[in-house]
Amino acid sequence: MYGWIWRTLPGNAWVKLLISLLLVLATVYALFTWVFPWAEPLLPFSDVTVDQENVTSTTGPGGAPRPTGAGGATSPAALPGGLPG
Amino acid sequence: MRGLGEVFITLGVVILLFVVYQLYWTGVLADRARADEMHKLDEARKRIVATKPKDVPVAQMPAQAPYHDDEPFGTMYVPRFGSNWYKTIRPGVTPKELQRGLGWYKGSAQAGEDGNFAIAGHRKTYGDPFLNVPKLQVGDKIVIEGISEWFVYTIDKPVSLSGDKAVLKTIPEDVHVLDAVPEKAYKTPGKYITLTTCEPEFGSTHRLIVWGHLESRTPLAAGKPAALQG
Repeated sequence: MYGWIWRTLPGNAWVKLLISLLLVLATVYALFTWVFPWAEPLLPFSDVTVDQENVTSTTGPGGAPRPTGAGGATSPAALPGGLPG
Repeated sequence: MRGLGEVFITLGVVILLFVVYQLYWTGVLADRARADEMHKLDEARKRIVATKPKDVPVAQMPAQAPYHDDEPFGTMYVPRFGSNWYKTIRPGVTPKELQRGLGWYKGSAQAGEDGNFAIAGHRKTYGDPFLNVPKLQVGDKIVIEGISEWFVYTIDKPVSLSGDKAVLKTIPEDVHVLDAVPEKAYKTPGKYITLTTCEPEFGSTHRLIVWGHLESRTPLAAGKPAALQG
């Protein structure tokens, strides 16, 4: 694969080296910008809350906080979901 | 066969890069996000100062406005984590919000109110905000600099823990730790704070929980609370 890329690139060895470096940089950029942010939620460490789905479902439409009772004694535990990690 | 070897080496390099991304780059992103959030907070605080006379006694201060989505509402300081440690807080605890700092559990009490002001943060990645939660001790202070007020909370010993331990380890489904009166920590209603983060550092099988009660609430104009001085 890499041998084929090297042979396909135009120019002499220096030009090939320069283009190769640019290709590597472009690949790393693409990984950091799109691929890794996408892959991240598939891993467990970003999980920091308790019962997250519950939590998000307690909010009203538009993300408004649910109306709280007198004194604001709301129980977030009623939130569906869990504690985020 | 040579092509297969190249594929494996490539995969190995990509995985190493992912480790760099998680351990290092997310911290850079989080620092940038924090600078942005601090800027928004400064703007919001200036607006308040511009519209409100100073030196209003706390008793006469109007109730806080409800927090708005997508707007940070405060900065947290924890002297135990070091004088350089500060993180911004915004409503919501989804990954999107937690990438920008700490998150407030929507539906829980707002800072300084009756009930339980509940905050989540990453243990690892994105600046490791709650990395040192296990080092917190009973009596440590948690200071919130809101838009118009300082809130100082003091960490308590949960009634369910023995000795002088302040940090409870529990499971992610244990959402009752966020109750207005979390029964594992308190027996009577009050103005409480709850911090949650994950345990172990790189896992999500458990959660660490710390509770505290409101000790003081002063206008920003009154200056830094004693907990942040010295």
